[in-house]
Amino acid sequence: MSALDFVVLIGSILGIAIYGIWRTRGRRELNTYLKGDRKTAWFAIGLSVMATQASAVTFLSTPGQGYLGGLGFVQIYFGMPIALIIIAAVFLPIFRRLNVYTAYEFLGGRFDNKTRLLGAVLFLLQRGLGAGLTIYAPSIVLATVFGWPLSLTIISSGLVAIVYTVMGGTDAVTVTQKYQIAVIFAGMVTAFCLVVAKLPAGLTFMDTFALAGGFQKINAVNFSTNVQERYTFWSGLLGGTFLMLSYFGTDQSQVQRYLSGASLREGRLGLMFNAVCKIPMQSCILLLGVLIFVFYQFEQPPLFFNATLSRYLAQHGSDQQLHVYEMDFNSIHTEANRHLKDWLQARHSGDRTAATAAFAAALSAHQQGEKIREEAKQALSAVNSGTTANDADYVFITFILHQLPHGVIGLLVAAFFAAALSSKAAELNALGSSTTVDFYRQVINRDATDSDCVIVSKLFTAFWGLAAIGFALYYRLVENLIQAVNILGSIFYGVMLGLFVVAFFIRRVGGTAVFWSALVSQTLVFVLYFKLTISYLWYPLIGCAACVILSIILQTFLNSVSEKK
Amino acid sequence: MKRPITAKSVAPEADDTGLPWLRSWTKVYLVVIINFVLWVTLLVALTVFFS
Repeated sequence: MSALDFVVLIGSILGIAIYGIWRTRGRRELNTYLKGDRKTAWFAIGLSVMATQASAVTFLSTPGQGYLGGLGFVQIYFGMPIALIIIAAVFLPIFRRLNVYTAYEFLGGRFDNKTRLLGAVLFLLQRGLGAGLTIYAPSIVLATVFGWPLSLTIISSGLVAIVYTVMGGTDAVTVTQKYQIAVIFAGMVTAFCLVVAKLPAGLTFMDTFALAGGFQKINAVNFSTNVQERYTFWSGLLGGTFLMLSYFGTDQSQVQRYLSGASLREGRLGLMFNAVCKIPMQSCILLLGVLIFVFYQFEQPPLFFNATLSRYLAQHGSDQQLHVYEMDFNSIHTEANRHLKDWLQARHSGDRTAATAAFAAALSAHQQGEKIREEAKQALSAVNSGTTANDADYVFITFILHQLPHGVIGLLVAAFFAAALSSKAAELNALGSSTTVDFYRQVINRDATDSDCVIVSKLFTAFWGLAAIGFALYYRLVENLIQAVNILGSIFYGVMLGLFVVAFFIRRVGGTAVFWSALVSQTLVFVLYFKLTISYLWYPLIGCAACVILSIILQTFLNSVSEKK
Repeated sequence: MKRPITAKSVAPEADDTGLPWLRSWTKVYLVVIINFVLWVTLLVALTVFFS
């Protein structure tokens, strides 16, 4: 990173944070601190909802997903338009009419306090654990870029998020997210244009897609009915609908975003903006990863995208071994590159037979290269069994640091940081408000004034921020972190959604029946998770269905018992 | 059991979309669904054509 990169990075981040604090200074009322002043226009809501969901992980990992697995990951979003329509048509009008601070407050009104607390506990558990990840992800990027200790970047980025969330509340989140998402989009669009510009001169649009397709990277839709396959059209459409319905309809960090709308219309349009834009946006980010894959077919990629792994191997007496792997890998890549150039020439001259043969040879060389990479990873595991060699998350940041011009590097690192800051702030704000409204005001101090609640909410926000920093520092010891937290969300979200579905649609079910049904359903989901090997996308559907069905059965039983008495 | 707040019991706050060509929410939702179908069709076409 050059001085110009530092100026762009620090200027973008500090500018946004200071603006957010200045715009929302001196908020004293609980209503405006937690819900905003309900003057937000639909476009700001739409961007805020998008920024809350799009953490740094999205912008860091999604191109890596595209690089490794192609476009197939986009299927996880297939349920989103349907889910957002249901939320706009059913959930949003009810939340607004009841003028609730949190989604779980509604459960208290519809059922009873214990059900409200159960909903809040489920949210706080999974979101509190997940909060550590949103700090951890950008911190590891900053640590790689600057060479600072990871613990320092975790603590510093966490403290920045805490300070400006505590000082501004929901309004600060909404106000700054507009600019954060602008920085993110500017960075991603710039990266996309530069990848396209850096592709070899003779490679046309059709050549690029044909090459990527030949390496199975354009496999966007898979109609397989195998439930063990993680990303298919069906798991995305059915499982994804329930996952998104749960996330956008019951997760306080999202509910808080669209409740800040000036009217029902603004909230609905904000949600529809996301329903329309999300799939194209994710497709483009995945395509960016695919284009980086094509770029690295003509340029020498590193053996490990995670440079710290190479350094680790070198520092632990395996330098010679690493050098052998690198030599073999580079040589096989040169061979693959030569075959691809032959393929391109044959394709342009219309010689189909020669093109097919050259592509098959390039594919075979590529597979040999992947085999060498795999052997190198195993060598790394042999040196340290606790180290993971999964470097998908490092593909994009490596490309940025090695291939893009100065200034753009600073902008893209700022984009990662902005994404982390916006999702972190939304999360902390939601955790703080839910703890205040659903616990403090209900259990600890029922006579608390609005002014007391604002102070307590700020304290809880700071508490959750510090807890998230603690989680992030601990996560360093855990493998497959991102997957673990995603699965955690899927396990909890289904039952949360079940509570709301019963509340909205099944009038005859009361608090006791739904409370015990939710507890049994949550246990059932835990048991099934450890017993079955199905895609995690199905668990929100299973959890929701179990909660609804058990509630009806239990309520019928309770009614028959009370009739007998 | 507390007050029965359900989907049917809560009337919408306002029904005007404020959009010139899409006066009802049903039409807005329909446009969203059509957009989704078009994108999936495009992705299926890409998958089929380049596999």
